[in-house]
Amino acid sequence: MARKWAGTSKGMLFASGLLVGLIFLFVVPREAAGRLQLAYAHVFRWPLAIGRGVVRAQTTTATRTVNPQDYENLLKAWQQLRKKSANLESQLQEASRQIELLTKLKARPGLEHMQPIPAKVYTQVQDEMMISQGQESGVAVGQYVLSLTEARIDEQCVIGVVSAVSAKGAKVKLITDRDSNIPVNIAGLSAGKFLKGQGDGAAKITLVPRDHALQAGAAVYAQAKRGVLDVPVIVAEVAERKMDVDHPNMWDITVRPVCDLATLSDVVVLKPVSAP
Amino acid sequence: MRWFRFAVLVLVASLLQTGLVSALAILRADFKPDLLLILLVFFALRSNSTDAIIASFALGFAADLSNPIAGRLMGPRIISFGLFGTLLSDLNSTISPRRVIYQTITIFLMGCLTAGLSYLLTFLRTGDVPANLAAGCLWQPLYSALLGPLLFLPIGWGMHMYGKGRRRYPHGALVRR
Repeated sequence: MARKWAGTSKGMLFASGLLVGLIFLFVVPREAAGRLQLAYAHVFRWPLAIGRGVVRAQTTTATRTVNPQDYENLLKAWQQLRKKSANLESQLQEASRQIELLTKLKARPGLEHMQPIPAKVYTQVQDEMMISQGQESGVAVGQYVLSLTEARIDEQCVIGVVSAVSAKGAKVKLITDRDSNIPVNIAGLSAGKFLKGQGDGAAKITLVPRDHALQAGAAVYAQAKRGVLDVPVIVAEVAERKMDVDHPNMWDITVRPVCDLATLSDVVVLKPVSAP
Repeated sequence: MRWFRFAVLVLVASLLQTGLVSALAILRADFKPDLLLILLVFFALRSNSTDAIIASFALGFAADLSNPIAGRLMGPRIISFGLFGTLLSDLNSTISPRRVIYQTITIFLMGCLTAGLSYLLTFLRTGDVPANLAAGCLWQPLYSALLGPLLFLPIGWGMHMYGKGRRRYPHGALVRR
């Protein structure tokens, strides 16, 4: 071999080698170089696989020699992280659900100028409930409160009015409360009336002339009120009508809420956008 | 120079470098010795200059084939190994590192220089800076430098190159081993 190269000068050998290197670097396409490297890996796959196996076995052995105390600590940390991750995932799902509902609620015609404030129901005693949002979120006395359920957004209904507010909570007077008295319209009637709570899970509308034909199941809407409610929203339905004993020419109408107030866990307070 | 033995040695070193040498990695996966760099210094120091040039380019080719700096790229190590291997071989006629400490320093410097030039050529060709720059230019040469002199003895036995470099007669002529 040495004799073979003896006739070639060192300079020529060096230049040839350098030229080969430059050709590989700048002339040979990278795909061709990649194919050459792959061919090497394919031809020698057996010894290379053995080498990888030995390295993997060594890595596995090294993993097994973790200090038991470290292992315990890592396991504990992993379990904590798993719990935290599960909780965060659950919170994320809840937040996504609320955002989806609120987006639909806001998109409803007539509610574009209202800012919905979602709240959780803390407690419900008789015809009053405590909710989780207060003054800090912009909740104020007199604002309408709607249900917030998984059902279609068109099925949301007015359940009451904010009656008292603290920094972080508020009290909602439900439509069935004895002190509740909200202006409403009955479907098919042009004149506005008042819905007065009875305290027994029902409410009444009085002083409706008997010349109006009323059917059971007729919808009752909370009246639109500038700055509080831009569009009428259903609140109840007529459950029963009978002659008013005190005013024989008037109807005594009993209504029942269209939402199941006892099982509500989420509500939304409607705050006018202009309100601070 | 026994070229068949050389070819087998280079092949075995390439295969070990691709697989088994990873088992010697410390701290990080890329802190491992470079067997082909050790062979480069060995042949540059112990072969005559013609053989050293051929061996340097051949080792560079093997390095590019088995452990490329960037995927689908060949050439940087052919050039850097060939260039610095030839340079070391030429310098060996004036500075012959016979002591282990000098060999260690030589391997380290050769590792730094070849890696530096290889990364520069890779950058010129691809425009990418390899992520393991510090490991390739510093830690791998250091590890190779510590391990290299220990491997010189078995490689010398295998290649029947026992000497510690070319010696000079008093009047300056070189002794061929």
